Amino acid sequence: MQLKGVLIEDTFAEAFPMWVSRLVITAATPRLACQAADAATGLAISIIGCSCEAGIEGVIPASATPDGRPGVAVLFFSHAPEKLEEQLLFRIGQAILPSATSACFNGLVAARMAKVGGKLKYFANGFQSSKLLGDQRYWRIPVADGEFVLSESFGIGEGVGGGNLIILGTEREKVLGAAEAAGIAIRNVRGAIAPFPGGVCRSPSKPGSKYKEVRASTNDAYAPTLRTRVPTELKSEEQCAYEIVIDGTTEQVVRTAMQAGIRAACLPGVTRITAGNYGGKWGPYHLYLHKLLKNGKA
Amino acid sequence: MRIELAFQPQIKGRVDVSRLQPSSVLQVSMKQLEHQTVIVANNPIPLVEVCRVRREIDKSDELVFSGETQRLIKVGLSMNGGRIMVEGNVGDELGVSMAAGSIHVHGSVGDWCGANEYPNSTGMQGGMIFVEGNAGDQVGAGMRRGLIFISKNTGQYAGARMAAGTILCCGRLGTCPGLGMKRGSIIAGKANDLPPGFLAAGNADDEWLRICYSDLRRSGIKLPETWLEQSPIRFTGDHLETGRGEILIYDQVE
Repeated sequence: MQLKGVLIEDTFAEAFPMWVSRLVITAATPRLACQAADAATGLAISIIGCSCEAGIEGVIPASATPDGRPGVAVLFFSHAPEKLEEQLLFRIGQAILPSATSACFNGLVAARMAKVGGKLKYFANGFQSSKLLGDQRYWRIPVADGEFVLSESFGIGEGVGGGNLIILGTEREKVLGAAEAAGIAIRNVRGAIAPFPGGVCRSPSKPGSKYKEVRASTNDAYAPTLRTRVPTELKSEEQCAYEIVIDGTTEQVVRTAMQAGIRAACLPGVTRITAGNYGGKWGPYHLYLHKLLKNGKA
Repeated sequence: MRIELAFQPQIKGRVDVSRLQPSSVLQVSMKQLEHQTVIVANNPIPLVEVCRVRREIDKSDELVFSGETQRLIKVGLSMNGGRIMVEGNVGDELGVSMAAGSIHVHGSVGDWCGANEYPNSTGMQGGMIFVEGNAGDQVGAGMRRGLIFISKNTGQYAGARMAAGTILCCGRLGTCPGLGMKRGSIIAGKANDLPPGFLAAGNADDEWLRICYSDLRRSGIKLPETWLEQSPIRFTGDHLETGRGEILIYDQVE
């Protein structure tokens, strides 16, 4: 299949179930809220390295946040609910709590709840207090600019991770431009994140390594400098490949994000768009690129 | 289902309506309801003799008291869910020891609103009370959880012995608010004086207040404009108890 002169390969991305939490971070100004969200999602690039993937879902206007201040929604994904709870505790405590004027609220109603605020309250060293407003309990932790308010519990729901696109082309600048355009298009889809910097990954990985202590290694089939040494996935004219990894709150969200990413990435200099999979043995969600585009709406 | 009980003007004495709970009233037949009793001057009287019962099938799920409501006492006593609406002034002990649900009063309330039921020391344990008028003495006394909103003034000892929860008074608090309170928050426009166990602790620019106000505004409750723009002054206390409670005053303490 060709789309705007770009070959869309007849293949699929293999996605798998993950656990997801949604945080609403608010602060006195949009800049402070974004700053806290950036800090909280920092280095949460891949579960290979840090047991969670995270990213900014979008900006929330003051009229839609619990405390009526500017907010940012962030999504956290992990392979186990216990790991996700551990990461929430760590990241809220280390990044959001110290951020000036911040507050942190649960943004996901789910059957499973992680008691994060109920543990972080101990930072107050006995001076914590709670407020039960409606059916929500909030903890108030005294800090040097007033109080840090956070929800007692955060929802942990079922999400989907591992949606991906691989964008290949002849010139690095043009392929990068296309990949960045795809990253922006994906960020505009509510419920989806592309956790790599700018949404773009230049180091696609494969599981395993020749070194037994290393869990994942460079995907040599896409490395142009190795094309003469290993079986390559690159065609003769292709000099560069960028991967985009997509996590979403539902399979449909990942489909929509992938479709948006493909359409945005079909730019001059891009020769083809493909996706990574493991032969369908690992993940239950098989997201076929042609089907995404044929259906019109994903 | 909406049930309206319009109390007749010829009633003499106070009418104890503690047996009329949304959970029980909304699920019985009209016949059963009419034979339900209320206590008038210590005598059980069938409901049909003191009020007109009107039943409407809609989605509101509320119990409405109207007519001669100022004679009613113990409205929503130990209530554990549902919604009660009172169209007019109401007597003492409204929402005493209630655990859940909401009570809206379009008028003023008597003493012991949301307080404890003697001889228990624990007052309201959950739910919300909205009063569009004044409240008498001992509002929320012994209160442990929940929210009481008073659009005008309260009598003395509001929030006395409070263990937790929130009282909002848009007008003036009577004397000795929060006396003996352990935790919880009392927010008011003005206060006559505070008990000696309260100490000024600067301005309170609290996020939880914003959450609380956002929730109230979504419920259609009108708050004073100044509350949304300025920070209140915080007084912590009662330091003769734990000192973990707070009284937040917007305008002045005289």
